[in-house]
Amino acid sequence: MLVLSRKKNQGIMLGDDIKIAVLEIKDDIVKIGIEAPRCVTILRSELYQAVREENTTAVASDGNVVELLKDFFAGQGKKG
Amino acid sequence: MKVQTTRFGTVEIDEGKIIAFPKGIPGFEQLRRFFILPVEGNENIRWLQAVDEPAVALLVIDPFVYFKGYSCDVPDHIAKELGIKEPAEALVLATVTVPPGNPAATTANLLAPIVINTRLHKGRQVILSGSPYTTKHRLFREVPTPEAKGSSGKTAGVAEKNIPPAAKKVSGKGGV
Repeated sequence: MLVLSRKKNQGIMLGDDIKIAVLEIKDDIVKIGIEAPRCVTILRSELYQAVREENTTAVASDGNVVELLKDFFAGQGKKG
Repeated sequence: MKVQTTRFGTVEIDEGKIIAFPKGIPGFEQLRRFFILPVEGNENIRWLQAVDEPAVALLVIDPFVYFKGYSCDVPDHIAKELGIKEPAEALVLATVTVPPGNPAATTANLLAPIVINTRLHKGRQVILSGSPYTTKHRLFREVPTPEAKGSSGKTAGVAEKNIPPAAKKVSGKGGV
């Protein structure tokens, strides 16, 4: 990992069209501004991590739920 | 072609039905090919099975059916990447997670729908940014008794939101 030290209002360029700036440093929170083309997905990394974990857990899912879901729909059908 | 799967044994599938996931999906980035296995008796529930890893199969549902009012705005650059020209050729699926031993607490991931171009057989999981959804939305609202799990489907409770009219279930796709 590349490590750079930056002060407030200093920035970093990633390639030609991504600009990252440190906007504010307060207590242990750093406010970061990002300028990037729309086609660049910007996500908090914990969000990506959450989706990763969800997928991994989902794979271990119990197949029983299929029956639950089907019964649920069948119940609805009878009412209608 | 024949595909080995842990859950379904050896499955014969039409190679044309394989869906390419050029980036894999988070957690399974190395898996680039999946296919859809329908669940008999309910077109809204399917399995998304990895071609190259027998143990990887995700249960997926139609989020629009189970969560009334659900909407997902696929960013333009992702629609473009998937070659989606019109909404009709996009298939949106939500993965379902069943907590071990507690199927009644099943959740759907509405934050990261799997979007598939049904014409080009290309897909990716899209993490919606600035979305009100999370990775865990309860599918069933109420569970009368804890021991109800698995034994009787009638205790499955009610979906979090409204359900479509019964007609939707019966009518199917108008079959050709």
